[in-house]
Amino acid sequence: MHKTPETLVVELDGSAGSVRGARQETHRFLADAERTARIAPDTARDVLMVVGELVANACRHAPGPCRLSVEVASDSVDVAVQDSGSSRLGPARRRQPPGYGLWIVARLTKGIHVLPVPGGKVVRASVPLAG
Amino acid sequence: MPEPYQHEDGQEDEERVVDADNVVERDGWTVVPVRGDLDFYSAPMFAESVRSLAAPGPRRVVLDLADVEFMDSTGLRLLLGVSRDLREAGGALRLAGPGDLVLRLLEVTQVAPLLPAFPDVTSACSD
Repeated sequence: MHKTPETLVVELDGSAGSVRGARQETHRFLADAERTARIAPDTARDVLMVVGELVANACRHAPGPCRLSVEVASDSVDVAVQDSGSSRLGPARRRQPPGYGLWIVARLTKGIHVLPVPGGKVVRASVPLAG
Repeated sequence: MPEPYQHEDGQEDEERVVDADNVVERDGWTVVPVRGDLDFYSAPMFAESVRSLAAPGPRRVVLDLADVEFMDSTGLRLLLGVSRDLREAGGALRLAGPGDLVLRLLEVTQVAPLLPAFPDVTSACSD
């Protein structure tokens, strides 16, 4: 389902296998002929890594389905994952550190933003198109 | 090669993360071929397979990652755990033939000293 030609939206069931569906759809979206001219292979790789981490985080910590969106903006590829979890990243109880996942996302993007929405939260991160 | 990403049909992926039929001993190293994606989905099966292969004694293990196109933080954490277990038992873990994405993962997480990577199996088994 495409909101606009430059946005991919994927509804996921929240199972562990969701990470693969999410990456497959993102790979197809970025590999589209009109987009490959703008998106360098290194950028596409980083976007896939960010999608994998954010979707895995939603599947691990939030109950029920989640929604991935990937948008090609003028100077970045913006990844957002909406889930039904509380508006805090990581485990509901702080028994374990967030681990490498969010660190990886932070290193590959301009930063991680968490927005509370009705019934859950949206986690956003943008991979720069250049560099 | 098309990626087997369909999450409705995961059984096939589960069984082939570690290609146990093609494990070989080479120059004192146990070379374990890994296939498919090493991620949140496959990591539990992977951990079990590798631990059973590396179970007896101080083993030196090379994971051949040439056929791994994707790895995430869950896969990385497992590799670090296997590496630590092997080191504590007097063994070692090396990675052979990691692709661009795996190298990027090792780079951004700064764990390269803990998971030595070699261009191919031959160089990984060189000493």
